[in-house]
Amino acid sequence: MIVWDGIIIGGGLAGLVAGITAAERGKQVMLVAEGIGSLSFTSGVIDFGDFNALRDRQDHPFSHISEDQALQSVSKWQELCPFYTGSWAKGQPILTPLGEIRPAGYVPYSLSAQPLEAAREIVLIAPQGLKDFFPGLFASNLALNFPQAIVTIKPLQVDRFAQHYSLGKSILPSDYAKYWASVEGTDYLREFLMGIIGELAGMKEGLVLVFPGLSASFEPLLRDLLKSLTVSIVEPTIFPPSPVGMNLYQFLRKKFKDLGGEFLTNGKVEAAVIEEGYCPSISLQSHGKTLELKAKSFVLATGGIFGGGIQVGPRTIREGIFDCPLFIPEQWTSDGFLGPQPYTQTGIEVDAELHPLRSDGEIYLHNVYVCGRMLAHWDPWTDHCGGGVALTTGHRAGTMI
Amino acid sequence: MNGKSEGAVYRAEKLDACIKCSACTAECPVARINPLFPGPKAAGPDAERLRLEGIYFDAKALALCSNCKTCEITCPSSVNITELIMEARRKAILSGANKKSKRYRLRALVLGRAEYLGILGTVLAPVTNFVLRKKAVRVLMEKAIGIGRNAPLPDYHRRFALNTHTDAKTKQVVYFPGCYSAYNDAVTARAVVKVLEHNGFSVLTPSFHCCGVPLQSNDQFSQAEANALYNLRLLVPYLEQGIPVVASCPSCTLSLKQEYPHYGGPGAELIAARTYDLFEFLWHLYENGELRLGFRPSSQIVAYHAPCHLKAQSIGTPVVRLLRLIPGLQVKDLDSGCCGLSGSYGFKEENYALGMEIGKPLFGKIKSGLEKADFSEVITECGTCNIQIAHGSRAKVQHPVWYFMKAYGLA
Amino acid sequence: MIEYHAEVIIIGGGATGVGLLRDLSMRGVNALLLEQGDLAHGTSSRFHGLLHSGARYAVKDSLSAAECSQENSILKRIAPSCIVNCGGWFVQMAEDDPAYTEKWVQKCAEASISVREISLQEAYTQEPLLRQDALRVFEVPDAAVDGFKLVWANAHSATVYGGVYKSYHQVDNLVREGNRITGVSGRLLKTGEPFTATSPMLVNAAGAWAPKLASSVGVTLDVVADKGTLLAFNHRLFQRVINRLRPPGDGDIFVPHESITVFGTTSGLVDSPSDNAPAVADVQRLMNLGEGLLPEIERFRVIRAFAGVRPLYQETQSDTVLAEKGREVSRGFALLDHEEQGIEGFVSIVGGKFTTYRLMAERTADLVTRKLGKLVPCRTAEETILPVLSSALKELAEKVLPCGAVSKMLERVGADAENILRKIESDPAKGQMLCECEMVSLAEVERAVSDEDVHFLSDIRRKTRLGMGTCQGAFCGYRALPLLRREKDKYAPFRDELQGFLDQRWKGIRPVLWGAQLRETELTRGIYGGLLHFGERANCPTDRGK
Repeated sequence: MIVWDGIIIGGGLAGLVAGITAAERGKQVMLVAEGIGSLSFTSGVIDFGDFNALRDRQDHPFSHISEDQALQSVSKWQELCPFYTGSWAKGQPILTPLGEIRPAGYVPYSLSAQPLEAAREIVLIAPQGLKDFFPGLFASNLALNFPQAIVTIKPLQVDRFAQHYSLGKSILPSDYAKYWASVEGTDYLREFLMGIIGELAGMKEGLVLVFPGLSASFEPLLRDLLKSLTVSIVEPTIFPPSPVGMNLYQFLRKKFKDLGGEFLTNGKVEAAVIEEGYCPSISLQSHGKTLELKAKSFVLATGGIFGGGIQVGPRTIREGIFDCPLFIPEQWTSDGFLGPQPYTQTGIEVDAELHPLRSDGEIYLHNVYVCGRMLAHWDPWTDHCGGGVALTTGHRAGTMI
Repeated sequence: MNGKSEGAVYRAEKLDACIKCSACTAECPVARINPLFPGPKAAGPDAERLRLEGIYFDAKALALCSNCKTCEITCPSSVNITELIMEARRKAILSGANKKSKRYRLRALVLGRAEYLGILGTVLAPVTNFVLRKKAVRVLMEKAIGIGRNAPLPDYHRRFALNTHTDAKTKQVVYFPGCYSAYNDAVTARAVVKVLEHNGFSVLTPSFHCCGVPLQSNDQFSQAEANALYNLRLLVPYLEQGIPVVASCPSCTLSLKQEYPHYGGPGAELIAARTYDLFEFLWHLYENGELRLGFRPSSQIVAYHAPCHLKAQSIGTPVVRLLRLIPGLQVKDLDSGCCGLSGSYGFKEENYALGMEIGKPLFGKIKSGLEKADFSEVITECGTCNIQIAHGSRAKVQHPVWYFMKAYGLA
Repeated sequence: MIEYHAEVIIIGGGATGVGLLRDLSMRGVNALLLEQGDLAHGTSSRFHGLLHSGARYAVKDSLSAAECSQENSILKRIAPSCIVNCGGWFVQMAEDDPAYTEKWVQKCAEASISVREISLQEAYTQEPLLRQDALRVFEVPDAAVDGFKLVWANAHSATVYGGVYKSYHQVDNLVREGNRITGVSGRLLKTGEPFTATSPMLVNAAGAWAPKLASSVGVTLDVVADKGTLLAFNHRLFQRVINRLRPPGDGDIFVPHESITVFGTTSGLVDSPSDNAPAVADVQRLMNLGEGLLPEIERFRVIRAFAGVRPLYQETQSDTVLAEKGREVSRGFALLDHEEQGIEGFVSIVGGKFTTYRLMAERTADLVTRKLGKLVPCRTAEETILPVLSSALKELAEKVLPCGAVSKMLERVGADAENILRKIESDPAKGQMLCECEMVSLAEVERAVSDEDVHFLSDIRRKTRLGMGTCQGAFCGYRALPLLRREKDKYAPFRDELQGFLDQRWKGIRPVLWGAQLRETELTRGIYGGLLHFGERANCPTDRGK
């Protein structure tokens, strides 16, 4: 049986970054993914929160990452995805799906809401039937947040979706996005946007268009189109499933495959062989057969509780593949739903090289590296460092293979 | 717990796993372009909770599912979405539930509009020439009726069919050629046999019927089951001796692995574990040091399309691994989604235009790749993907086995 | 100051109060109902949704059993759209006393409750998830009833007969003149505006809140508050009500309820009727008990826990000792005329069960009308509560709505169906499903929002089942909010409302935070905490600094 240099378990941001990093280093790697991972829920936003404060927090995943390493991961990311924008020193504003503003770290450039700060006229494009998008509420929030600008709503209809409109069926943002990325879609969009710019010719200086569900950053056709325009276009983040997140997933998966990595879909790793602190092989069920996969090292990036890597039952909590020891808080929940929740700290404690640790602090498995949401002692939603932990630890794990 | 109860618990657990994230619907190639299809989430796990309550969907809305299983590959929670949809459809068809529901008259989900059928034909204007469409439908007719019934098998088939006596001295393998290979591309089936023989196997080929996938697309669920049981009966003696079954068409392979075990009957318990995709099988040989190597080098760059039904098998892409053993040969994974045909879905007259629209991103990628000379040929294991891609992109499409024929000096 | 006047004031908008409003209105009595929150927000929606056949009480309380049996058939007749006549089984397991079974069969016969024994093989075929070492299985006419729907149906029907109900009207004081209660005073919960209401007759139908109300005029009611915790499972695990065949106890009933299964209950006395937060210990106890009927219970998804506070009436003071155990207290009801304590114009109806709400209303209305000198007979047992919808309307629904939504919507909205359907017909986009788990359309939510007594997302939830399904409001709460907060108000304050809604759902999810529901919860926190940036912002500097 061939022995892979590394097998990455989990196809979210951390796993993909680990896979790409290893493949770039000439390693023979396989990535096993159960499904699309968590990227479809985010809009490709990569946050680092208050990096130095989090780094100082004992056991926080950032405590294993130096600022230099984090910066390396970031520049690695920008090399991988040159269409990302952001700066280490300063956050930048982006729009939420409800049209409010929030600070963010690194985002696909079309998501940056910076142009709105100087806008005098904001036109909100409202594609008809776009699911989970409320133009009235969105515009009213824009007006609140950018009082210097006049906000108007410009409805948009596309022949391609005429049937949807007449049947009253809503259209997923990803369906619109896929249309915009096609040749016909881009042509249609060009004409539509030129029309608006023509109408508002006098306002050109301060005109900014807000366009939900565009996902312009990933598609060369759209990128070229936007570059050719004289006005700025800002995309808000999108209620899931987000086309930007899905495009990012596809982009990274393709990158991984192009580098020679093998991507195994529909694979749920269920067991691992463990011998004296090492794991020689893992196995998954493939329709009645057990598929055994050997590797020199493994990356565990199965997404924690949300991703299914940590299985929580009414009585038991366990990591499902290697049975890694877990940090489990004594108290499970607290009052305010969106406030700090103890259960979110559940995860695997690691050393500086991301090896899983036993409760006595010794290494549990010497050839397994843990990254992303599988790590203990953090909560992406209150620490505001979701993508940042995945990116830095995924990158780190990829260099360990 | 007995088997029946374990099955019920398993189904309940799968249904419960859905977190309503809609990733499946966002990736569904059919829902993207056809507003009449409610999408995998709505027709699968959402509707299943209602079906348990005695509220059913119109089977016509369910029939819009192409059974490509993209939803299952996408689902981050391992929900058996397509299985739920196909099972509901099967029950609806078999029980005639369209006419007599438990509590309510049935309507199509999202759009139980009365004009439903009228719209269907005009969702997208047919784009391509009528002749090809006729030809495609003819292939379907062949698959669905010709093979489904007792059509005579071609010569080469019978030749191997005679060779059904096991011989303990040589390594043996049963080859399930599938309708496409058997009827439309017999030379490829012969190539598969040659490659297996080249590796020291004697190849057994009983006279199988169609695996059943195209029958299901045509709502012929009882016929599909009858075919499965027939094929299983043929396979039992080999399965019991531990002889592996190899198929070169991923749809057939998936059906043998995933659906046959549910039909019960002799052999049903063994079939999944003994069935291999051709390249999955060859890769096993390679890992065990049993694959003949000494490949002749090649300087080609080929683009690979992974069929949906291969992705659903949880085996990765063994053909890519194997092709990379051929010195000099470069393989590029197209990674551009479903071709739009999905077994025989795109062959159905009413789905033809939909299928072509679904495959557009893939065709576009191939066309521009060929223009830019990024690659010179396209390969895919699935016979029907092959037809669809060739039709949609005008590219030359081959089964990857031909590259091994060349590399072995057999072609 | 808002002033109301009526012949009879009813306090409490649960099943009994609303049932009484309908009964009195049908008898031509001018009645006004005051409810502190939304109708059916209390115990009437916080129970297992079981329409008792009476079999559960057959051995212990034959009177209750007979009442249940009678009301069971009446309600199936007058409120078919609120009831799913799924039937029920009593299952005797190996560890259950066979002597009890014999006695139970005999007592059911005495109470005219039809009982049919089912073969074990048939039982396992029909309910494959049932524990497969049962000894005997019996079928009884149990059914599932929707508390929300039935209360709302009664309220609508009462309105047709001139009855008036006012929700979010909290009564603070009873007005007493000499020995007579002449009215009440209180305030509107939304605005704080004060109101008074006068009437010659006041009925205390406040359920678990009844003792507090009565004590304000020095009347002691022997009612204890008994909290029952229940679990809601993600889908129908059983097709019928499943009871354990042994003396009634905790955790012995599963009720398939629309698309979910409700399992309960526990029993424990609490100090306040507002104490309806499900506790972790009760949930764990239920999970243990549930294995007795559903052995793989841990493998099924619990979407939430909830608790209701039952007002249990104890006839004599000496029962207080027994009341320590909750279960031992009578499930019967009592109609108390406080004239006996020297207070005129004041009646309390206490105790009872959801199944007997109509009978309780009837008895109360009999007493009230007698006192008012209006001798009109009760007609609530004869007249169907909801109007039968025309077949043309059903056809329209089938034309404009997805299949799953048709029957669900028609049952929920009753008389409003036509308006909603016409709206969708003229604007198909209104037919979109806001709630994809429970199939609630945009038009239906708009209709609910247009009601003057709908102020919160929770009000929409109670009227439409929005947010009651798998996602527990993560997706549909977001979708419904812009409809609730209209354009003219600049949609404010939508953040607080949405966060409040989530916090309130959290109460029910917290004690069952494992498995798929935990993953769902993480998705919800990702959406609201991450994407929408609600909640904690401390670690989110706009300027990272160096």
